[in-house]
Amino acid sequence: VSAGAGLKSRFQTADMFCPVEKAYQLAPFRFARIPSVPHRVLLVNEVGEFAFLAESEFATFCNSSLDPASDAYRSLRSKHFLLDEYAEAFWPYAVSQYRTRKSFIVGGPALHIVVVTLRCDHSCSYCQVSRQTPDASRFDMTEETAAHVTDRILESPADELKVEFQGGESLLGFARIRQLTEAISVRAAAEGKRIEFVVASTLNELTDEQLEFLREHRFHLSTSIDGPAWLHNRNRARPGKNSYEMTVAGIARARAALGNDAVGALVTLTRDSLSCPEEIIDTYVSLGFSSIFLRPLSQYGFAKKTHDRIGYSQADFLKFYDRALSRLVDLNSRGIQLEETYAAILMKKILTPYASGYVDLCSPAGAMLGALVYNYDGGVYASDEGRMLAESGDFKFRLGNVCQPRHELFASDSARQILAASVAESLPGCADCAFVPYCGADPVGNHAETGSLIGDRRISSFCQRHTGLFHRLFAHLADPSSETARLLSAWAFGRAYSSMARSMSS
Amino acid sequence: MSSEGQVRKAISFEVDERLIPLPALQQAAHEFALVANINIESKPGGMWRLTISPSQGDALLFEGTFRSRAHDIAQQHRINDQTRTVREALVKAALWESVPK
Repeated sequence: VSAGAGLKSRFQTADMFCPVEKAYQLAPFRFARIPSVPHRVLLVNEVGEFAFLAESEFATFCNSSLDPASDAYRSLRSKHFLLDEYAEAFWPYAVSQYRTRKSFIVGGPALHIVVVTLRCDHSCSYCQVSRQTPDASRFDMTEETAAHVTDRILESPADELKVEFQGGESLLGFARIRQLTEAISVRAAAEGKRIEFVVASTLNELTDEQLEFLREHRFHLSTSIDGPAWLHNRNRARPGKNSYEMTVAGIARARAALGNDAVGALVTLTRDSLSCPEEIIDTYVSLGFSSIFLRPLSQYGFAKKTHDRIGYSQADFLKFYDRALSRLVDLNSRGIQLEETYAAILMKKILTPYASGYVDLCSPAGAMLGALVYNYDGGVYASDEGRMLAESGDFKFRLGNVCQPRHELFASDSARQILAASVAESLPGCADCAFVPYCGADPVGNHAETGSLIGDRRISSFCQRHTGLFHRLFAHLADPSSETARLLSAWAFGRAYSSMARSMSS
Repeated sequence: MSSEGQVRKAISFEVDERLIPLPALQQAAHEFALVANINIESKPGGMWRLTISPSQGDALLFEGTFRSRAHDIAQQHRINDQTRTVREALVKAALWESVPK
């Protein structure tokens, strides 16, 4: 019936039955809803770019019917969330960014942790290993084992290696540190590798002779300061009950010999710490540190036994973290620069394509591919946490003995099982998580919690903690003009807050 | 709370398979399985009947949370299906170029 006849047609027009040419195709992405950002959806694509969309825009975008003239469309195209007539620009960019994010795989393990002794004069409340008394020399690494450690470290294909000496109290095994450092330095120079040496120590027993050696080999020192003296001394008991005072004195001597930047400190948070984030942060300011790493307690090895006394839930940790972040924003806005390392690592992953080198947040997992641990007795482990589990009788993550060449260690049953559970993008509960481009697999934590390397995200403390942290960071990023967002961005790019605030306002 | 102000211990409702396919319902049920008993039954006409009894709180409120999550999972599955070819090509190209030649 002709419309011209004034009657309504009973049929749709012919173009209704033609296939509709969609203006664009979706590029792979995942999405999440952030509880404190209502009515907006966070989208994260395969290469880690993110965007917030209003609910209505999100539905329209998913139906491939977003208006190409809209701001949202242009923003999503520039961030590679869709492929349209300009799709040729997508491929080189996305491939390059993905490859950069995963570049740590190619070099092999870059972090080599050497446990030179289990001897220690501290009896810390959260100790994860079976520490031995200072005179128990059978828990020292032998000269022969150290020679094999040197061989294994230099088998790593990476051009830049970090060798970290740990204990016990590592300085009680200083003869072995000296032997390893000298042997590794000579061979690395011949093979064109660059080596960074780190000693993790209480710095309580630091001698002038040791300092001279550490200065000569450009060591970085990593120590522990858990907060104010009352808290530190409660956590880190030693004869004399003066661990804090001795560590602070050691820091001053080390800084004088090696320079301020050569000494860093870590916090381990116990239940007592959760009530005083401001005091802990202020202690770091008063000691002249420029960064603080608010690490939650590890629940591995012997530390599991003390959880009821000093442990806490991830929800409690996140409440603590909120208070700590407020304090840090306040300090930085007043010109006192103090970076929180955990947030800086996560922000770098969110805002840049570069790998952070933080082995706990890698996919494939950093265990084995990013780090290897050589125990005093010659055991080689996929990670420090794996070594801690071994101290309580669980050898799941022992790859073999240091006498075995690298290809044998990497072909062991343990290695194969770890690798099979290492790719977060393929794990249940992680595969569709919006944060997976920034997160990592945690086979050791999964095994410790559930007995399975795959684990269960519903009860995973690793997942609860990181999801909570990502929710917080993205809630701030949803308002990029906020003071906290500026501070977080400054940390991601390693810049001072004041310069970031100036550049954003201009 | 129900209209009478009472907390409902269990609730049953139907969902359309075309809106939320079974894999999305099952994934959502798994996510909530530690806090609720969730039963999924097949019904004629491409429908699923769900019965949910949360261990705490009002089942009516829980239904909204569950539906919303199941809806999101179904949406993510659709996105994955549409973008799988691009994702696989991207990962292959990136990792192949990383292999030392």
